[in-house]
Amino acid sequence: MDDHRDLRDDRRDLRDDRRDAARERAELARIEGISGKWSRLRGRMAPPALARKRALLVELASLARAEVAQDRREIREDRRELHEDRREAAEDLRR
Amino acid sequence: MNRHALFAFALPALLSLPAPALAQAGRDRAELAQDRHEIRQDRRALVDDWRDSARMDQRLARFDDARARRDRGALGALDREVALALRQEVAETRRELARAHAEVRHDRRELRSERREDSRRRGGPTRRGGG
Repeated sequence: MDDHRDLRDDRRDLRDDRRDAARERAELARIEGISGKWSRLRGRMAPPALARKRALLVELASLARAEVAQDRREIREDRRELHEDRREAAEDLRR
Repeated sequence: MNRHALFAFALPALLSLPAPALAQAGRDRAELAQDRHEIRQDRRALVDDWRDSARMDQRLARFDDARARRDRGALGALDREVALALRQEVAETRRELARAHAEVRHDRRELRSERREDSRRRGGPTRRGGG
């Protein structure tokens, strides 16, 4: 039973960490993209350039809010796993 | 259940356990410690990201204000500030990506080791390859 549980937990950890790595890769690509665009706009003050800069700032603000939301999801997920592990550890000791 | 309550509940049972069960209990405690560590890390990340998010909202508000006033000095300062923040963000995200890859490698090793142990216990051949 414990072995089965350990295998299940290891698979879950691998799945979660692969998902996190994929998310970090996507985020890095997006930020590098914004950074490249911002570099090309630096020093330009004409209205169209300012409008593009504003759009990039809005995108950055939205990315930052998404990260906060993601952190909250991860805290909930880790708490749920902690709760599960505690419950199973207590069950093992009772057996 | 808090840690002390769990310990008080578990101690009498722990003392009467055979060696394999004690080893399992040790692994369980290590897992609990790891989970708690991860929750602390998540909380720190939340505080940092919340601060970054508030800063980015402020930059947007300052940009709108400077643009409305046609303040080239303020717009130039924001140009530099955002470029610096982006460089830092790229560096930080690369570090996080490296950490995430390291965790995946660690998980694969754990899973391979768990499968080998499982296979040994069943008396079958060991399996190679993760996940």
